[in-house]
Amino acid sequence: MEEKQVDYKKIGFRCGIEIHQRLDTKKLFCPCKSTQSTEPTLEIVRNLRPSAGELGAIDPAALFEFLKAKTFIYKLSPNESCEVEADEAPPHAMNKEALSIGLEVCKMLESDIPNEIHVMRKTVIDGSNTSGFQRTSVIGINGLLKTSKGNVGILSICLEEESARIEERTEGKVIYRLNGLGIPLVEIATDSTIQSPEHAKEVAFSLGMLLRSTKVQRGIGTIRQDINVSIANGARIEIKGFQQLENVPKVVENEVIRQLTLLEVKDILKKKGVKEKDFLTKENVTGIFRKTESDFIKKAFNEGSVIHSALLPRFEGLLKKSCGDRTLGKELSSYAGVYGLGIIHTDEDLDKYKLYQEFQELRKILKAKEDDLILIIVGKNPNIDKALSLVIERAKQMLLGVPEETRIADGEGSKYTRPLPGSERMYPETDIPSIRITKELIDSIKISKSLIEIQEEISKEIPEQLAEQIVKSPTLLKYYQETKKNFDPVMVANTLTNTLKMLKRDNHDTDKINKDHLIGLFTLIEKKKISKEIIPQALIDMIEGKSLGYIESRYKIIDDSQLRSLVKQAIRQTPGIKESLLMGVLMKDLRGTISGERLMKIIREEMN
Amino acid sequence: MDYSKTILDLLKKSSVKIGDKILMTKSEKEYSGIVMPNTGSSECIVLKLDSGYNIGIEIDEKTHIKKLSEEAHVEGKMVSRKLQRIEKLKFDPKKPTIAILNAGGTIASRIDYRTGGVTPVFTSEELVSMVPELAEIANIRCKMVFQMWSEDMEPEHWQILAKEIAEEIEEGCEGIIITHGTDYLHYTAAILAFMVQSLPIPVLIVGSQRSSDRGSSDGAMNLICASKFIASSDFSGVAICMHANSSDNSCYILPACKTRKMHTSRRDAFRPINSKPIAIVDYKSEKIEFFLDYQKKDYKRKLILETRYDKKIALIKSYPGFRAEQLDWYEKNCNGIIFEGSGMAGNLPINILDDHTKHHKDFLEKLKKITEKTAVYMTSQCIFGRLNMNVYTTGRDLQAAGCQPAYMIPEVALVKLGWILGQTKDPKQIKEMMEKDFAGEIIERSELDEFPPNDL
Repeated sequence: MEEKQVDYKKIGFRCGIEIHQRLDTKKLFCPCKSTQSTEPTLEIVRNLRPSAGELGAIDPAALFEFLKAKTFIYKLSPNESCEVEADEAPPHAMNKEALSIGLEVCKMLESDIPNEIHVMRKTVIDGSNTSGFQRTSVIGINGLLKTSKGNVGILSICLEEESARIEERTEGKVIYRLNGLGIPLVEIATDSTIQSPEHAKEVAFSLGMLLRSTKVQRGIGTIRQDINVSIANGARIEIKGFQQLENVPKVVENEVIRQLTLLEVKDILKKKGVKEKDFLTKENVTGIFRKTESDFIKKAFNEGSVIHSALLPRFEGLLKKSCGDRTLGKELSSYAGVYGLGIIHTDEDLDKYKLYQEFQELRKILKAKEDDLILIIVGKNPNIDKALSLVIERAKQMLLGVPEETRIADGEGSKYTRPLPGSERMYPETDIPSIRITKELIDSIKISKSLIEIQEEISKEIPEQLAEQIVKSPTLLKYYQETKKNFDPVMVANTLTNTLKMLKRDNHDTDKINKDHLIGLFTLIEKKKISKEIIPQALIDMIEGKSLGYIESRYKIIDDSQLRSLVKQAIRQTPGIKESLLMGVLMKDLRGTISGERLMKIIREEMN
Repeated sequence: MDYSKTILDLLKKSSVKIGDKILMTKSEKEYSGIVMPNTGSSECIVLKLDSGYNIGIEIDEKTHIKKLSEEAHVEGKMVSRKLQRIEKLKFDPKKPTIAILNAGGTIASRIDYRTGGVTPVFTSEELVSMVPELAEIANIRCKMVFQMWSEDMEPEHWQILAKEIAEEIEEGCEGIIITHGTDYLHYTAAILAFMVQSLPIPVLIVGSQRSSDRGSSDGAMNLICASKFIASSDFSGVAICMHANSSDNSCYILPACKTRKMHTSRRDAFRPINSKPIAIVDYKSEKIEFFLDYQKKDYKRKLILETRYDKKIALIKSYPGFRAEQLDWYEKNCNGIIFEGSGMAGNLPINILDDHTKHHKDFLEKLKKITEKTAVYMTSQCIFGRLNMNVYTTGRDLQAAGCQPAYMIPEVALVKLGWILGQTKDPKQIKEMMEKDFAGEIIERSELDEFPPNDL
């Protein structure tokens, strides 16, 4: 693959990010908790129907048939989910805490907050919302985020409901866990002025840090990013499912390369004069492969598979082209992947598959010219038919350039998941009256300092690397800020990060350590009652339930004269004791309070 | 609610109509969107942004609005959804004919921008076009009777419905479905069972607890189950068809005079009271299982239509602090009273025990006075269980004062009394009729599994 240095401005790069963050409050429209743990004990079975709202927007008959064949099962635990999530009762008023966190985010991003918030119903028919719609509301528009490359506009900030999570998908049936439904989400959508893949990472990072400065949930699945990418003459592609921010630049870069390649392929095909009618398919060419030596195909035949084939006119060589982290061939194959299948084609090393002969035969049957490409799909009905038609449709779109679609991040690249959803049907949520946002309410909302600012601030007090660790955890940050005023900040930070981490690694239950423990301990050190070196051992003792009084007396700092009298006493009690033995006996009692070196020095002085 | 005068004036001044796309400038901020009908407080203009979201923006003296484009169709688009009209359905002689009488309710409703709530508006044809399965089950003959929330219903509406039923039977059909709001659905079911007796065919009353403008509406399944039940069973008489539980897998066929709305919002809000359901219909397998005996279909059976009704009746619930003088108005204006007394005997506060209860004497005297010219019957506010006015002295005193037991759900006793008083004012006849079981309303034998268990 050739490494290209892309001039993003020149190619008309446009990129925007949507971030969804779960808030750490009760649910948005009912008083259920947003944290989940209970095992489900009940199941509700539901169907969705095309509601009057959808008719006209989508082919109603198709939608109807689609939904008719689907049953949704919701697993729930009654102490976790209530009638609201089960769509058995109307929503309660919007959670005030969630609203105020949302408005805080609006203020941080300098957005305009409407005088009235109107909750809307966004039609969702995949069953992830029991009601058939998601409740969502715009709470801020026209904001901005400061970045190293200038301001990025914030189109909108929404406060909305999380949907239910799929637990299992089988033929005609989808099983959901109901507990996630209704958790408040803040959605921030930037405009498309992000300038480069690296910049996209910076924006995602900054928005994440900004959100984490407020009362939000932490951990896997509590934040997710969708990135929209397009280039001039390309198309808007939505990439979902980023597991790690580190991958953002590479995935975006590879998407740009993919679009560039598709545009190049389009030009080549145009020059060659390829037309849609030149594409051919021939179903069930299974016979040709009957005597194959290919293990893969032999195995597939045993499972009852058949083989379909197609001819892509004058495509020879094109599928070898790079789409970033994968070839165009692999990219095309991922469309068959939607149905769990793949393609084999003549731009690949067919000897590797032991299929050279069979493809020669196919060429004859399809009356292929030298520069035509032949591909096959191996699989069972009815999926193989659907896969073939999707692959051919996609190949034909190469005459047009880049089709709009939704992709999912996949390693350093991405793969096709579904066409871009049409504009969502949206209508007012009539069960919730509009919410008046008064000036008093907006004024009463205090902005939390951004974590980036906080990190910069505390880096002046403690080493950068400690500061970074501290801001990552809201609990640590809170401890740090409450204790640093009275104690040595470096000692505090070190204890909160390195020491606690070490104890945890050694399987000590550090969750048992509370603020009072730490403050008590630091006070003893500050008053020079015990030494700093004792901290790890003292914490272990505290985890085991020892009191502060115990720690103080057990590890009391002993001055030289006290130590000397202890040594004298020991020598008196056991005259003639060996130096090393005496050391051992005394150290057993004094461990942690003095250094061995100091004890040895005094023992030697006294013995002599 | 309309917009405030200030907003209306501003819109008028800028020649902007609802549905136009505007650019609004306010303290150097700009908002562009389509002006929507007011769905919030009246002081904010509701704008639909390009993203489809609505927001409300308050206007002040300096707010300026400019029309960007006219989109007069927007309001129409939002308010009247384009549904495919069902074409004149082809009559299939192999299928039964079901008459669907639309009497309104959530089952036939959609958003109303004026009130912000859902209002019934679909015609019956539209309703059927939303539930195409109906045409697979039967020949459907729709008729719009009236569109209303059931809580707005008057006894006159019952009379209209009863006559409509008679007309549909006259015209010929294998069954009738009445779509109805759920709040007072059980009142309608009960009174129809009295007004339209000796039915040759089934009459099922169907509602929905989730409005039909959402994908999760229960209305369609209730309609489908009702149609299947009519098409493939030999049941006749008035009954209710609603979800059997929270899942979309089966519907109960419930007795007209022993069913009550017992939950504000659940799909399975309708529960049999002091009874089992008549039957259960499985949505997917179409299997029907009966739990009660019933009168079989007989197309030759002659219908008895008796729609007279006396509205001068009342249902009065007793409670601690209830006083005799509160009954003054009822005494003057009612021909019949149903009390919802307490506990097993339907007790009322008539015993004098201390200083605070001295006025209870007035209550008993008042009651005696009322019963001289008014039919007074007792039911229990426990809802579940049979009344027994003989166990306690209070109950016996009440009977002696002329207050008779009615072994019925309070609401059923009410409509039955109104129906009887519509026909006669003769106390002897009234008593005879109240005690006679016309439509399975009398709680006779109580089985142990008729009271819902409280373990999940």
